[in-house]
Amino acid sequence: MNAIPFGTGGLVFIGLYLLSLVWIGWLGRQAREENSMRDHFLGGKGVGFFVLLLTLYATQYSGNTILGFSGKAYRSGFSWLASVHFMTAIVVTYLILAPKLFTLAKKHVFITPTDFLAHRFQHRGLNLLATLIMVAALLNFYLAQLTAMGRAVEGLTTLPPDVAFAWGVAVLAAIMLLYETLGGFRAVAWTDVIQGGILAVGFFVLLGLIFAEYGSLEVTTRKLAEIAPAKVLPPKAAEARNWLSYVFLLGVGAALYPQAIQRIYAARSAKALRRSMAVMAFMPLTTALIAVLAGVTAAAHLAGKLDGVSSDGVIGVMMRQVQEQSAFGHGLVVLIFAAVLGAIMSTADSCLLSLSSMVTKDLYAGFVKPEASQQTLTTIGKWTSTIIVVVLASFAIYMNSSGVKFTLVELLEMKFDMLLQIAPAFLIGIHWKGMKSGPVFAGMLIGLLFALSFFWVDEKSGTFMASLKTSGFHPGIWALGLNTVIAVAGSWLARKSAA
Amino acid sequence: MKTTRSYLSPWIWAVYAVLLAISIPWYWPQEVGTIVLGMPLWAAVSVLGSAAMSVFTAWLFVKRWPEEDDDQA
Repeated sequence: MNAIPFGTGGLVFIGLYLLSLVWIGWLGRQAREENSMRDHFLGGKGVGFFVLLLTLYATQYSGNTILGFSGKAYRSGFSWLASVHFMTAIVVTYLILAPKLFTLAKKHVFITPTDFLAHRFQHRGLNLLATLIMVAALLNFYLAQLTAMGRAVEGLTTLPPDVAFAWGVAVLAAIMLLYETLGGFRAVAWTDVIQGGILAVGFFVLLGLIFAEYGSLEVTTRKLAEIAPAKVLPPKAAEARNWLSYVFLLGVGAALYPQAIQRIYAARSAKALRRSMAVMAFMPLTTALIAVLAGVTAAAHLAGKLDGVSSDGVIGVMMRQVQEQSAFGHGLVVLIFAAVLGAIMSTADSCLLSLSSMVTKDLYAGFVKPEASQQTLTTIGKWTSTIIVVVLASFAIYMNSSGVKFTLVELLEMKFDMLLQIAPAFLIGIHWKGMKSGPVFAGMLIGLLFALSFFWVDEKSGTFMASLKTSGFHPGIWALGLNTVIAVAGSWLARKSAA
Repeated sequence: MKTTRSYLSPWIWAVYAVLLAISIPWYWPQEVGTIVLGMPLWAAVSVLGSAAMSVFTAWLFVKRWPEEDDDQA
């Protein structure tokens, strides 16, 4: 967060906060009912309304929400209100998925998202492909969270930024691994209560601090209209299409995050789930909207100070200014920093647990050793987490020191084009009994290859593919269209020919 | 409320389509315009449209969740 020198009090507070996470991990271990995969990955019988709401909230809102969204709003202005819409669209997608999936999950004791696909389609190729897509998307997401951890710590110490980044990633990832290995899902969900609580308070404090420091939103808007009118004007046609594309890309894609699907499985009752979802529908207004307003405020008052990747640190720059004003502001900035850490760690730990559950249950038990005992699989799950942490944390540190940097929103988008291709299998497959496994598999595979092929398309080549790439819609959306047509038309034709 | 698919009724998705069409600012002239709630009018409409979508979604979750699934605890 761009050189915020924390005093002893601030560092003690952050230290106690991190220690409390490990303590909760230990409590999670004490609460263990049996040494089984369901107990480790979903917390046995599951969690009630309060814990479910905060774990959904803390998992859904990540480092991207605070750092990435405010950075993007700093760069593009009010048009990034698109983020409020797509975060709402995620909850809308759950309307299609959650009620039926919850019932099935309880009845058939699902642990991973692929368990649903295996139950519904009984197609090993589909299980493997969907699992690989989800694992690839989550590895990407986890890497983004590790990078965000490093960035958040960079400015806290007097160490050189690269060294601070490396220590930040290593220490925070180790703490996360420790509490997750100790307590599994319980540790992750219970730490989410603390992390989500601090995050929720942090967003409101952030809003208050920004208004106090920079004046009302109207002052900001008028100033921005003078110095950078493009950031205040409504989007042009192509940008409006891009906005719509974001609503579908992230609205559907993020609802299909494996860790999000597993939280549907982990609800103790339908009542707890639907009440949590109802509250989640309002969260974009208390999080993404505030991040956008923070970014827009910075665009007006800190114009030209940051660009590219470094604009993801815009909150840090603002907080340093606030901190210089008063001791009261200083304390609140420490709280915001804790909220940022909470946002990142709570998303990263859920991601890690989900990754290890899929590698263990869907890949190892699904394809390598189906007869492995629950105890063996749980142990393998913990080792998988450890290996993922070590490899990806090293990669994040290497990427940072070698100068290969992406902005957080870029990292966020890359994986959704892939993840979106599992949507027909879940969203249509759960409701339409006539959907057949072969066409679903073919649609998913072709959709995935089509989405990835855009990577090599030159935007200026004037070809059909180039026109799709520059249309304002993301490659994943075009690929999803193709995927859905293949899955639906293929299933329909298969039914006709069978009849 | 009786059927498992009541939350998938066409009218529900028509409401979402209308709210989305209002919320995405594709129909505004390229000017800053009036400032409402501290934002340009188009941005305020967009935020209020999103808020309406949140209220509608929460209502659907609370009132339209398929009843028989409630027994699955």
